[in-house]
Amino acid sequence: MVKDLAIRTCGLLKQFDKHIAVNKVDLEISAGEVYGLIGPNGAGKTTLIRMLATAEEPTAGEIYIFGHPLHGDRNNFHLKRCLGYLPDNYPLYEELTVWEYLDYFARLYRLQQPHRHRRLHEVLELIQLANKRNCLISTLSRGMKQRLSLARTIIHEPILLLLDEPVSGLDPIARTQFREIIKLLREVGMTIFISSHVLSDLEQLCTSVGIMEFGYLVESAPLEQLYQRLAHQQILISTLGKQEELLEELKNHPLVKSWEVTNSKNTIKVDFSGNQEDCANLLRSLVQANIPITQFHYTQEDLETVFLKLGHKQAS
Amino acid sequence: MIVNLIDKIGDWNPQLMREIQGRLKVIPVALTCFLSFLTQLVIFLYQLREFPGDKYPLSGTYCLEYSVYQQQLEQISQKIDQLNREIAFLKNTKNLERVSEITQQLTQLHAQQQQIDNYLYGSNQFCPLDRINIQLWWLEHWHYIFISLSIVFVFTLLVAGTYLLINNLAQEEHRGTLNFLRLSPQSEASILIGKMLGVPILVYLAIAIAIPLHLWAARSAHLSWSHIFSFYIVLIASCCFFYSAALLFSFFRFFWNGLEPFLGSGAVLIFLIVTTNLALRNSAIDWLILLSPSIIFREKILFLENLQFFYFPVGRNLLGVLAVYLLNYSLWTYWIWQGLKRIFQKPNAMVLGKGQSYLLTTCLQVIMWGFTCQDLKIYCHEWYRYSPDCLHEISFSFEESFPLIVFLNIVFLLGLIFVISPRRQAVLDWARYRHQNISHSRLVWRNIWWQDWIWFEKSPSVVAMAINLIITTIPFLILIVVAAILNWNLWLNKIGQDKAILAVAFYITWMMIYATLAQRMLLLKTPKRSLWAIASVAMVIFLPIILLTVLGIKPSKAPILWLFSTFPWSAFKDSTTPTIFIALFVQLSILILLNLELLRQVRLSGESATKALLAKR
Repeated sequence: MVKDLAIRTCGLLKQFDKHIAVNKVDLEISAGEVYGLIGPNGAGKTTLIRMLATAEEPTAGEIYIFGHPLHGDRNNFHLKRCLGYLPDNYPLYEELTVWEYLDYFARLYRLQQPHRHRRLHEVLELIQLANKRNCLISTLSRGMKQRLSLARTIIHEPILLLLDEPVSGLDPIARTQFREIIKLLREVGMTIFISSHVLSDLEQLCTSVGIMEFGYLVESAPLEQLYQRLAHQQILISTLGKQEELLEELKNHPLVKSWEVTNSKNTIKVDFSGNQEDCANLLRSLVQANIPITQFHYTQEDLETVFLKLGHKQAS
Repeated sequence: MIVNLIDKIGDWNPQLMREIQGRLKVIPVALTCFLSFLTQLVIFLYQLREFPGDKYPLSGTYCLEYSVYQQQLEQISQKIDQLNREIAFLKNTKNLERVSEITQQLTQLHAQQQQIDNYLYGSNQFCPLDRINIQLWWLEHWHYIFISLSIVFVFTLLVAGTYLLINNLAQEEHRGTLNFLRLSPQSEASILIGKMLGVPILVYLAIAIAIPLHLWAARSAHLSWSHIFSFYIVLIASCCFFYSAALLFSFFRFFWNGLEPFLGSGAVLIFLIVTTNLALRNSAIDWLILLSPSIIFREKILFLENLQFFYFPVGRNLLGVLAVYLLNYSLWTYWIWQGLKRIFQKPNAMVLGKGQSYLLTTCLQVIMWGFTCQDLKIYCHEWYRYSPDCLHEISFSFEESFPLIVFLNIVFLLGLIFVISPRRQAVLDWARYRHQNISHSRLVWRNIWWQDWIWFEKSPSVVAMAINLIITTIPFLILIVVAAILNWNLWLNKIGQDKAILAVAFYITWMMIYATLAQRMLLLKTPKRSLWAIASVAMVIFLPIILLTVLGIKPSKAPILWLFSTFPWSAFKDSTTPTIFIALFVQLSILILLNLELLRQVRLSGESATKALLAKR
C-alpha cells in the first residue's frame, strides 16, 4: 500500500523564525497521478515543494518518496535520481549551448552512452528545441528557456516530477506548448506534482488537487471527487419558441433546482442535480413536449469557481 | 582527439568537463600561452643581462684572475700580520734598528697591497674573456631561473587560483545554479574536485607551458630529480590545501558582497609573502609555516634538518621532510573537507559538528605540542654553543613556544565559536521541536538531556566550547605539574604554581564569556546577527585594553584594573593571590549571569505559540 504512494508526508512542518510556512502537512499522492497544488502566494506551496525536492530541510516531520524515507542528513543519491525538480526561477548557464547544457546535466545524472545521446535527442524533440540545439542559451526566448529547464528536469527520466509555477510569466502560446509537454509526460506514467496559479491549466492536467492556505493543506482530493462534492452541474438550454413554455417544463422537473435567464433572451441556465442519464431524460422530455430546442449544453463549474466557493480567503 | 578527451573527462567528472568547455576557448588559450612564454622570456632575459662580456670586472665572482690576485693579497696580509706581531715584540726589546727595517718592509707591503687593490677594483680593469668561468656562471644562473620560476609557479597557482575559485563559486551561488548541482546525484567531492581542477585550468595551462624550462633550469643547475619532484609534490599538495580552503571560504555568507575573491586571494598573497621571508622557528608555529610552499624555493630542502616532531628528527632526509609537508597538508585539507562536505549539501548547516570540533581541537594540540617538543641546541649560534648562556635544557623550547601556543589557541577558539555556534533558526528548531526529531540513534540517549548539548549541532554551543577549552588546557596543566616536579627553569615556576593555575582559570573563564556572548548575539532577531556577534566579542576583547593603554595605566601601576580587563595575566606579577581570586570570582559571576540569560532565551524560543499567547508575550 505504502509502496504505491509516490509521495507521503507525515506531520511535515517548516518554520522560518516564528513563522510556520508549512504546518503539519499530511500528504499522500499515488504513483502515476498528476497532483495540482493551489493556493495564494505565501501559502507555503514553494516551501512544501522544495522540501519534497530535498532543497530544503524540514523542521519536523517525515517525507517518504516511493516508500523510502528522505533523510536530511544523507545524500539520498538513489532518491535524487528518481526526482526531477523545476523551481519557479530557473537559472541557466547562459554561455553554454542548448546541447552542452543538457549533455552536462545528463552526465551529472550519470546517463551513459549511447543512451545519453538518444535521450538528449528525445528530450529535444519533446520540447521542440531540436533546431536550436547549437544555439547559445542566452539567445533563447523566455518560453524556450522554460522548456529547456523542463528538459533539464526530465533528462534523467525521473519517475516523480516536481514543478513549481512552471507556466508563470509565459505567453498563451508558450503555456499551451508547455501544457502539451506535461500531458505527454503524464502519458508515459510520470507522477507529477505541480503548483500553479493558473487553475484552468491545472484543471486540464490534474487528476487530484490540494489547496494550501496559511501553511495548512486544507483540501486534498481527486478532482472528480471535488467536482462531485462542490461543483454545480449546469445546463444551457436555448429554444426557438417561447421562453415561458420552456420554463413551465423545467419547473415540473424534480431534478431542476433553479434557473437563470441569461442575457440572450431565449437561453436559460439551469442548475441540475442529476447525473448524465437524468440529463438525457430531461432532454427527451423537453423534445417530447414539442419545445424547439436549439442548444442543450451540459457543463459544470470550473476549478476556479470551486476554489472560490471553498471560501479560503488568505490574502496573497 | 581533444573532443574525445573532453568526452572521457566528462564521463569521469561532468563538472570538470563543464568548466573546461567554458574556458578552453581559442582567445583565452592563446592569450594564456602568450603570457606564459612572455614571462619565461622575461625571466630568462633578466638573468641573461648579467652575462659576463668583455667589460666584466676583474673582481667579478666568475673571473679566474680574481682568485690569483686574491691569493697574492692573502699572502701579503699574512706577511703584514707576521711583521706587525714582530714589531710589537721588538718594541719591548727596544731594538730600534730592526723596528725601522720592519717598518720599511711594512710600508712596501702596504704599497703593494694598495697597488693590487687599485688594479683589482679599478674601474678600467676588466677580466680577460678567456679567464671568465662561463660554466660556473651558467650553473648558478640556471639555479636562479629555477628559483624565479618556482616563485612564479607558487604565487600564480595559489593567488590566481584561489581568486578564480572563490569568484566562480560566488557567481554560481549568486545565480542560483549551485542548487541544481546540490540536487544532482553527484557527490560533493565530485563536484568540488571538478571545480578545483577545472576553474583554474588556464592557470594550469600557463604553468604547464613553463614546466619544460623549469625542468631544464633545474637539471642545468645540477639539482637532483628527487629535489625537483619533491618541489612539484609539495606544490600540488599546497594547491589542494589552498583551493579547498578557498572553496570553504566562498561558502561563507559575508557582509561584503562581491569582495570575497579579493579578500580570499589577498589573504593567501599576504600569507605567502610573510612566510617566504620566515624561517622555521623550531616551535609550535612550525606547522603554520610549513603550510607555505615558499620554503622550498630556498637552496635545498636540507635546511629543515633540525626539524623535529616530539623529538623525532623528521627533517634529516628528503623523504622525512616530504612526509612532514604532505602529512601537514593532508591533515588540514582533511578538516577543510569535513566542513566542505557539510556546507555544500546544507548551506545553512554548521561548518563542523560538535563531535568533529573536539577531534579538530585535539589534532591542533597534538601538532602544536609535537612541534614544541624539539631539541633546543639549534637555538644556540655556533659561536655561543659552549657558552654558559646556551642552556641545553629541555624546557627552553617550551619557554619559546608557550606564548605562541596560547595565542594560536585563542585565535583558534575564537574562530571555533563562530564555526560551531548555531544561528537563531537552528536553536529555535532545536528548542521547539527537539522532542519530535529524535532520530533512532539518539533515541537511546533521549533521557539524558545533556547529550544534546554535547553532540547535537543545533543546540547552543556553550557546553561544546567548554569541552574544547578543556582539551586545550590539559597539556598546559600537565606542563605546570611536570615543570614543578622537574624544577625546570621556566617562567611558570618563577611566578608560582598557584598563579599559573589561576592564569589557566582566567583563560577558561574569559573564553567561556566570549563563547556565551557570541551565542547570545547569534540568537538576535536582526539578520545581521553574525556581525553583531563578532562586533560585541571584539569590543569586549579590545575595548578595556585600548582604554587602559590610552589612559597610560600600566599593569604595574594599577594591577587591579588590569585584572578585570581581558588581559589579566599582565597584572599577575604585581598582584597578590587573594586579589587574583577576587577578580576571578567576579568574572565567574559574569559568566554565570550570561549563561542564565542564554538559557532563558533558549527556553523562550522553545515555547509554543499558544504558551506565548497565554503568557501574553
